[in-house]
Amino acid sequence: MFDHLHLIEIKQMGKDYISGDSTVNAIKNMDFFIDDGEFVSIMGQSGSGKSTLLSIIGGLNHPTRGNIFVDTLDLYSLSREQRADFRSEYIGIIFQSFQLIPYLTVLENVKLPMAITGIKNEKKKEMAMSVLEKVGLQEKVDRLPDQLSGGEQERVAIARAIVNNPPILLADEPTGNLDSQTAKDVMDLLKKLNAEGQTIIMVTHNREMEKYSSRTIMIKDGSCLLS
Amino acid sequence: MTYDPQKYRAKREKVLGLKRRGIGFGAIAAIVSICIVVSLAFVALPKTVAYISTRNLDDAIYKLENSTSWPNEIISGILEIEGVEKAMTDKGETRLVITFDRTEVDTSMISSFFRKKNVKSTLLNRISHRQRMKSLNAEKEREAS
Repeated sequence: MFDHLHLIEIKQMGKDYISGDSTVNAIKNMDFFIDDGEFVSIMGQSGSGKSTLLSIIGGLNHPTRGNIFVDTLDLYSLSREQRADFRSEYIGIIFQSFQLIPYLTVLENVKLPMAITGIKNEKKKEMAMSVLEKVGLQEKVDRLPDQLSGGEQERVAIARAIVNNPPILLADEPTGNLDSQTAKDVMDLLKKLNAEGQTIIMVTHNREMEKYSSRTIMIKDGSCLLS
Repeated sequence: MTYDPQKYRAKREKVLGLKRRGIGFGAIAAIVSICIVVSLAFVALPKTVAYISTRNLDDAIYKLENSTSWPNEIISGILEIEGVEKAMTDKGETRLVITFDRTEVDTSMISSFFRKKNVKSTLLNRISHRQRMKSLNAEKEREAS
């Protein structure tokens, strides 16, 4: 249908979960695409399948049927090792609860995704410092996560997600744990990254955040309503 | 923004395993193996070649009965016998050391050649060529020290 004209192509994709004797259709048949450089919001009620969709795009959750093409790669026909490489090369993830390692400093947390890349230590530090500067935390590199505010922790999580220079940034409720002003600051940062060419897919149920994205995909009961 | 498949080509090739990341374990193992084999070959090959080329050689030491020096035509005649590798006199020129391939020549053939040429000689010793060379080298080392 799309024939690899887009960075991400979801074709006839569905996901079922087995719950006891019954099968739950978390995602019914979905067909949509996301272009390079887009900022897409995925919106819907709790339990509508937003996070499931995000994890499938991120190569973390095998769909029951259909195909996901990312940069022409048929994601779930890749081997397990290739898919791990795919996640390392293509995907940066920002979680609602930041998921920072509490006993590592800001700099060490940001360097973490590069641990298995084979990049030299000096270069790792240079890359980590560069993204920390981008998110405005160059002065706090030696602090531990609990010495930072919620907004600063979220910015560390963003820096960690983009340090490997992934083409796709997945954000799962990135402002869910933040007050409105801090949430705005974080969204401004994501908008800035998107303006620099970063493709962002953000799951949210907050209508306020929708305005930052260039397109919204509405999901209801595992189906795409609008894309 | 339009999607350009060339933009992330390097990443795609890395995922598909088309782009090698550094040198693999297999390549390192192969290089180390080749180095070991080559260095062993450097040590072992000359010895092996020397062993193969001298394994059938014997030395026969003849002495002239009338104590005069060995005539040149006898020495060159000996060298014409198939299987004789070398014939040379020792320091005093009274003894002739003939190196020959034992699979092709025997001392009876050499003795018969001397008889034909009316050269009165005595076979003093017949020894493996390698063993004689070893003794000569040991002697030289003793003299040097």
